[in-house]
Amino acid sequence: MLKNIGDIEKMKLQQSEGEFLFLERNWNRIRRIIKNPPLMLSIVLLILLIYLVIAPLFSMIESALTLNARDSIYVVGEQVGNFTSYYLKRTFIGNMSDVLFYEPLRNTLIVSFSMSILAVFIGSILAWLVVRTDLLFKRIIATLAIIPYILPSWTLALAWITIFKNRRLGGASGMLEYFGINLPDWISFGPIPIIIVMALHYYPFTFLLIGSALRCLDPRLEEAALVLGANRRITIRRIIFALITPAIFSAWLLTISRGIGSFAAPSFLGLPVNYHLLSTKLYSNLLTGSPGVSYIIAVVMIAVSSLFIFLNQRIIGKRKSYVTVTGKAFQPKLISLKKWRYSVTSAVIIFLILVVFLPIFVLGIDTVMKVVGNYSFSNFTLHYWLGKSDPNICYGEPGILRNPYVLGALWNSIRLGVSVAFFCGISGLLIGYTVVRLRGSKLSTILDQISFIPYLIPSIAFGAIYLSLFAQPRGFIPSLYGTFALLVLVTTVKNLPFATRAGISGMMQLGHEIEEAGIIAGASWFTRMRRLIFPLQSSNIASGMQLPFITAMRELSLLLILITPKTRLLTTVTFRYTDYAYYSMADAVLLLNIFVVLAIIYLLQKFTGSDLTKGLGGQ
Amino acid sequence: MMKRLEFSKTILVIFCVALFVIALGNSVWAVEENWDEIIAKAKEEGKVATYNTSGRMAKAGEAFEKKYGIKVEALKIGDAEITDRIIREKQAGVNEVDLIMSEDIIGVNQQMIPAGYVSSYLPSTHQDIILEGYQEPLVFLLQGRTLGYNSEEYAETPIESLWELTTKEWEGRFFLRDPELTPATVAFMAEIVSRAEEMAVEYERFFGKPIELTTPNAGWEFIKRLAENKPVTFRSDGSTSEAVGARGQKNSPIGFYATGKHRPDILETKNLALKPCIGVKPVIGYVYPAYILQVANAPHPNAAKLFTQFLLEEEGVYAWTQDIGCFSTNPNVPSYPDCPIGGIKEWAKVTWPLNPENTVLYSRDVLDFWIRYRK
Repeated sequence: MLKNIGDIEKMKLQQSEGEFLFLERNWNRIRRIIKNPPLMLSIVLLILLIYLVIAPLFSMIESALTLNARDSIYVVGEQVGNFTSYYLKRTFIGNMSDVLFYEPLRNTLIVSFSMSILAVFIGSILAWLVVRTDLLFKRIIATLAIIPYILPSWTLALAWITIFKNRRLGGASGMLEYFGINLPDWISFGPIPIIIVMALHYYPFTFLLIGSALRCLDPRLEEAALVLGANRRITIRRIIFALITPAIFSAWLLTISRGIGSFAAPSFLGLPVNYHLLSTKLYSNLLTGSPGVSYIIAVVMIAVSSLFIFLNQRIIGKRKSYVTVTGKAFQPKLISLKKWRYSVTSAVIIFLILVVFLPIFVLGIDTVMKVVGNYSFSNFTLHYWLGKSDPNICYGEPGILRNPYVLGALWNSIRLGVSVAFFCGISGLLIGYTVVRLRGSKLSTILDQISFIPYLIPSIAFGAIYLSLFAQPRGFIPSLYGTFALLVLVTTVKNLPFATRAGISGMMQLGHEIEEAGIIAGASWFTRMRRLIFPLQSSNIASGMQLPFITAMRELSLLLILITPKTRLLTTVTFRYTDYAYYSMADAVLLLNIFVVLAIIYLLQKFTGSDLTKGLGGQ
Repeated sequence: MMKRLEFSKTILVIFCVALFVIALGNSVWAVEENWDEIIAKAKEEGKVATYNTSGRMAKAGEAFEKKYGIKVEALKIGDAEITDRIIREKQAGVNEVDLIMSEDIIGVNQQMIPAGYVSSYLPSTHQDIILEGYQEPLVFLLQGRTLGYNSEEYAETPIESLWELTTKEWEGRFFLRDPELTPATVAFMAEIVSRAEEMAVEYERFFGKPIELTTPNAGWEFIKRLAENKPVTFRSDGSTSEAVGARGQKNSPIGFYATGKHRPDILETKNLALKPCIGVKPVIGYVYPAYILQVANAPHPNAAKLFTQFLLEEEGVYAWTQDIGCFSTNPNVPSYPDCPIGGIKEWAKVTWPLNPENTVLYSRDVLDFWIRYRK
């Protein structure tokens, strides 16, 4: 008996020991998490991202299914704030569905497809010429070719209107019209100019993607083909083209998905002839107080661009299996353009002059013309730049360089650009660090994917969601509406995809050994980050920061509805001035904006040795 | 017995007290507001914050500051946005704004006032002065939006009927501020729908035959045909009027824009040739109200009252009434002297006022109609 009791006691003891062990094991687990900074960090980042990216997405869907106060007047028998299928019906099956949804969807697909084909065409030819041939002035050409992407996307649209404007819009004549050339509507407005202008804005993107793919090709494959007796033409077609096709395809899909959310150019060039894309319909529905329809359109836009991104990932996944990206054994032999060398070079330079300098020049002319549309010397003035307030010109707005309204906006824009670049650089690095360190774990994959979601949400919709999310105090977070912090927050989150891509690719290049050495030397995690990771990544961070800086400086649709007079930016001032038809002022502000961006990028590259192309997804 | 007496005594006392309280309350209501006190308190508050649809509020604010030393913080934002913001702020308990100037008929009458987010306030000093129909909710300004033409190309108005805008001749040549951005123009179209009979009569007068309908009535028919006639829309009255009035045009369009754009000094600096289409039947356009309303739980209520009073006088409303076709609802305030359309009495004959009931009833369908048929 006693023995038995002893056994039971023993068993009990073992049991409690087991419980204790279990507890201890769990405690160890928690301790390990706490003691494992990347893991801790990833959990913190995950919570933040869920709050800043996933929550807005759900809030948007919720708004699309909730009856808005203004619409409640017209929906009989339903309560404000309750669930409703009114917007779904209105968008997809009502008699408004054609104009609200199907036609804009069709137009969006047509424009995105055509413009991306054109952009890939231009981009790949330029990339091939720069990387694989003996083109002259390659450095300058490669630099100039990226500039259209740095300019605000409506620069080209405004320039297009200035040159090709016809009678459709009445008013002052366009440049060609001034010289007696009459243009049909389809050249001045609508899908054709939208496609051209957007293609010219997005081709640098394809240029960089395809260019970096061309650079990565293993030249040994070409050499092998040549050794086996294939001539140049066959080599290009069967080797280079075959190997590069996935990159071209991927560039095409990525460009399509960018095009779907595009707003500025379609609104300048499409609305005069009542040509709507999903993005412009989204905006007008927000303005007419029917946000439910806007949010449904936004969800569709997200779905469509997700589809293209998904296709792209499938293709990249395949590419890995047959493109060998290894170290280069030797430099590939440049293809000689022979007798075409000079003519091709000049053709490329003329093209770049047309897309880079001509628009800026045309807008510049507009800013020194006292009365719009009169291109004679007697009409010359510097008033819009330097003039003092004259009540008869633009209701007394002084020239932009002495205009407190514009200078305040300039200061805000720079502040926004710098803060967004800073936060993007830091968060990109931290997310990149955790994603790479925890590679293979579920957490890493989820972080990676969530941080990419903002890429899929059209800017206007993103701004609208943030407006509804942060206009009211939520929990411990006060109402951010009208604050500068909200602008920084929303722009940073919208740019996360680029920042994290840059961060991840930077961290991939950094071996784990360096940090291990730090651990062995007894450095704490913070010391390791401060003394090892940050310094080693500084050039990468600087490169990764440039793109967020540029996008923040030229961002319009994302911030348009979040801006208050105090937080005005150069871009929103431009938009307001065009609203009031102060075109000369608008163009001058735009030029100021372009000048500031280019100057800061130039200085940054000069002093940090960073390179914009890295941030754009190049190598 | 005693108890009973005491009981009735108590009742009596309570009754008297109640009566006294009510009387007191009543007398507070009836008595003239003490403006010295309001001014003193307003100065203590030191500022007024407003949301306004017109940038000129800043100018009115400067004049106010000069007179009383009270600063006006005027934020210019769109119609629908003011309504949105006020609703959002009041629901969130954010109390920063004291006063709004709004032209959003639906938002004011259907959303903000019924919810108690804003209220109308007519200063006791102006109770018998302000024009009837504009006292509740208080309208301080009436602005005209009318048809105009390019006076360089045409010596006199090239159209005599609204229906002419739906003819082949004016296809692609009717310019207006985008109705999607201009609730007042939608309200005007709602007015056209509600006056279908007048539109039908005018059709017959102009074309000499009765109208054949493809829609419920002549008002809807007009909007449909106008939308199908390739109208061109702009984002502001300024750009619309410039597109119409620029010199050196052939086949210049008819425009529909704020009448204030006809001020001679504006025309001169912008080098425009613009004139209103006097005599167009049945109306040349509309007059739309600008409400001035007190925001609930305002941080500076007295300053807001004082500023409201200021805007009802010439010194306050001058920022607007210096323009053609802008009228104070205070008939003692002079309007622009050389208006081609005339004073407010003549205006009443050639424009339709916007009836809020019609606006609420038809706005959504009118805008849908316009969007659906627009080419």
